[in-house]
This record gives sequence, structure tokens and C-alpha cells, in this order.
Amino acid sequence: MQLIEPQFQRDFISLLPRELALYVLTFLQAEDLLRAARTCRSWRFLAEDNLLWREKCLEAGIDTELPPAVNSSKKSRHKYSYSTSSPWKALFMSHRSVEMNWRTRPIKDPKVLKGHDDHVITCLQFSGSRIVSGSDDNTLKVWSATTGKCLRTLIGHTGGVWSSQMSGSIIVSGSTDRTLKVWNADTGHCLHTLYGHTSTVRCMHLHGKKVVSGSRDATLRVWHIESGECLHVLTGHLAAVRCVQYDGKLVVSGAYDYMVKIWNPETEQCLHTLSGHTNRVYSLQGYH
Amino acid sequence: MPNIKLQSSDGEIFTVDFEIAKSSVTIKTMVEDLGLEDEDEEIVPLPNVNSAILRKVIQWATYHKDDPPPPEDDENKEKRTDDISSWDADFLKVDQGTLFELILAANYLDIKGLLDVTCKTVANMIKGKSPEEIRKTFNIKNDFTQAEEEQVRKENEWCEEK
Repeated sequence: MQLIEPQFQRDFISLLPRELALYVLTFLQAEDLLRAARTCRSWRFLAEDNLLWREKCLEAGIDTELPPAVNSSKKSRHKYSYSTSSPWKALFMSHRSVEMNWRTRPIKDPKVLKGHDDHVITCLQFSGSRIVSGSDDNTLKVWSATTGKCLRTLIGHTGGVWSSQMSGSIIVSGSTDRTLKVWNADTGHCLHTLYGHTSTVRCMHLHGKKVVSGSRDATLRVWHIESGECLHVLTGHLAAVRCVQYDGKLVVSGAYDYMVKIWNPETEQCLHTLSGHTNRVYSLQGYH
Repeated sequence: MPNIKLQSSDGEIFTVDFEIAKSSVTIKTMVEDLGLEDEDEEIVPLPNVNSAILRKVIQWATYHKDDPPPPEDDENKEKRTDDISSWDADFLKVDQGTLFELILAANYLDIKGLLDVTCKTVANMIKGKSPEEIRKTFNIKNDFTQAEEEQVRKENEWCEEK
């Protein structure tokens, strides 16, 4: 029997024309494909087919946009990059790892970033692998998100820092010293000090090269972060401006006068006043 | 044209109801393109299918003659393999060689229903098996070197839910 049996067997995947072998494989789920890849060289070759894995990604609802070069440049650094000839397979596998991490892996101890001593941390931003914290100890600190080390301390404000924004290597901060400062996160240098507000700079929103700040002086100011120029002043609120959003075209602000206002910063006009809140407006979120 | 004559690669002639033969897109196109609808004596040669397989294909097509046309594939939907009817499952209780030939024939004759059910049957023979069990099932020689095998194992690790 042992002699005869192999005569009736067929290695379908290796012997069928490629497109038919792949068609058989499309009926398999990912975990079966992975086991199939381990049987022999020709199965491995077919089970790595990029379009096959594209289909598995679509079935699993993984985003249909393939990020370019999923596993080329970051290969060595990235824990979940797979050595596979198929970018779609790599995408599938990394999604699976992330999902499993969320579901089953124990959460690592949090890294504690110690600094600012006993002072209050008032604002926090991150960009790439860097974190910036602002404190009422008058400074900001730039941290590495990967090592948890404090990379540098931004010293210059003469009052507590109460707002910040970060984009790439640029940090903007607002303080009770009534100024904004623009910093280079790499060097720690203060590039500009923006004078104009007559009270605490309590909120800001950065968009491209422009930042809009809101102050306890009840005004908003639009600044150019490269030239350090104040481009516009928006007046109309009757009390401290507490929150602001800016999308490059419109400014939306919320204040302690219970109002939300929508502005055209170019003309410095208030387009709409949204009244209805019966107390101070503390937060806003823009979406378009 | 109620009947059509099909000739297998080994020369056997099968007389088949044209309505049944039409489930093969290849035959349907051939008949239409050659204008054979009104001919009774014309024989359609099928040089890629032998008589044993052609007999099975006709048996399958006859049973399924009233099936609705198979739905278009939706690539966003997971493909099922547990939806093989019991008649098809019985029909496909054949040796691997026959199943192999049926897949080739279904592909050549362009009969999507038969192609799907035969490919699903093979997929079911792979599903849930370890690499070693798959090798045993299909008489596959493990041609990986030891180093390759370790590499392939790492590459294809499936993180299980613990």
C-alpha cells in the first residue's frame, strides 16, 4: 500500500499551472497560507504571491492603500518588518502583530519622564519621536519618546508656559510673560520672541508657517513663525480667549465670555458668533 | 439544436444536450463562433480532455444544469470552502489524479462552478494541516535546507491568541 499510494497523489500546487495553483490558494486563510509556505520551495514561492496577499488584506479590511516600500528602508529598525518579497504580505503580518499586541500582550511598564520638579505641566505635544512638555516653571523640555531621556530644556520665558505647538523641529510656546517664542527643537535655540499680547498667551494653533494665539487680553493674533511678524489681530471677544483652532483659512476661538467666534484672519473680521454656552468655553475641535 | 457531439482526446464521442454543454463557456463560444447551432452532425473536438474526465464533467454539468449562474467574485469577501453541496462532495470523492484532471478540464472548458468546487476541495485538503501533514497528503518532498527551514519558519510564524 505504501508503494502504491504515492502513485495516486498529486502535488496540486506545484503541478497545476501557476494561475490555477494560485486560485486554489485564494481559498485559504492567512494562517493556512503561512503553513503552506513551509512545506517546500515551490509552495513557498506561490504562497508569497503579492496579489494573493493583497486579496487577504482586502478580506481582512486592511486599508487598500499600500504604503510605498512597506519594509525597505525601516527594515533594520522596525521590529515587525518581515523579510518577504510581498509588500502586501508584510502589511498583513504587521497588522496582525499590532492586533495581537493589543489583544494579548501584557502592557509594558510606562516610562516616566522626570523633570519640571514640583511644577505643573501645562501642555504637551509630540511629533515623530520627540515629545515637548511645557511647565509653569517657565521652561519647556524636549524628550525622546524612544529612550525617555530629556534631550534639552528650552529656557527663555520669564513666566510660566501655558501653551505649545510642535511641528517637525519647530516648537512654539506661549507664556504668562505675554510672549510667544519659536524654538528649534534640534538645537534648543529660541528663534523668535513674538511681542504683542498684553496678557498671558493661553492657547495657540499652528498651521504651516502661521500660528494663531489666543490670550487673556481677549484678542487673537496671527503670526508668521519664520519672520516673527504679527500679521493680524482679531478683536471682539469680551474676556480671555481659552481655545483656538486654525485650518489655514478660518480661525475658530472659544473664550471666557461664553462665546465661540469664527474669523476670517485675512480681513480680521468676525464672521459668526456662536452664542449659547452658559459658561466659559474651554475646548474646541475643528474638522473639515 | 438540442444535442451536440463532443469528442474526447481519446476519440470517444459523447452526445450531450446543448443546454447542458453550454455551461462550458468554451464550448458555447466555439459553437456560436463556428455557427454550429443548426448543424446536427458536427463534432466538437476537445483534445485536452480524455473520456473518463469528460464523462465526469458531463455528469456534473447534467446535475447542475438548472443552477443559477455563479455570482461574481467579491474580492473583499473572505472566500468560503464550507459551502460544497453534499452531492458535489460525493461526486468529488475521487483519487487525487482525477481531481487534478477535473481542475484542468474545468479550467479549459471554462466551467466556473466546477472549477470553484474542485479548487475548494483541494483547499480543504490543505486547511488546518501542519506543513508535515500537508507534505504527507500530497507526497511532497521537503527540499528546504535546515537553515532555510528555520528561516521560513520564522518568516511565517502566526502569532496566536494566547
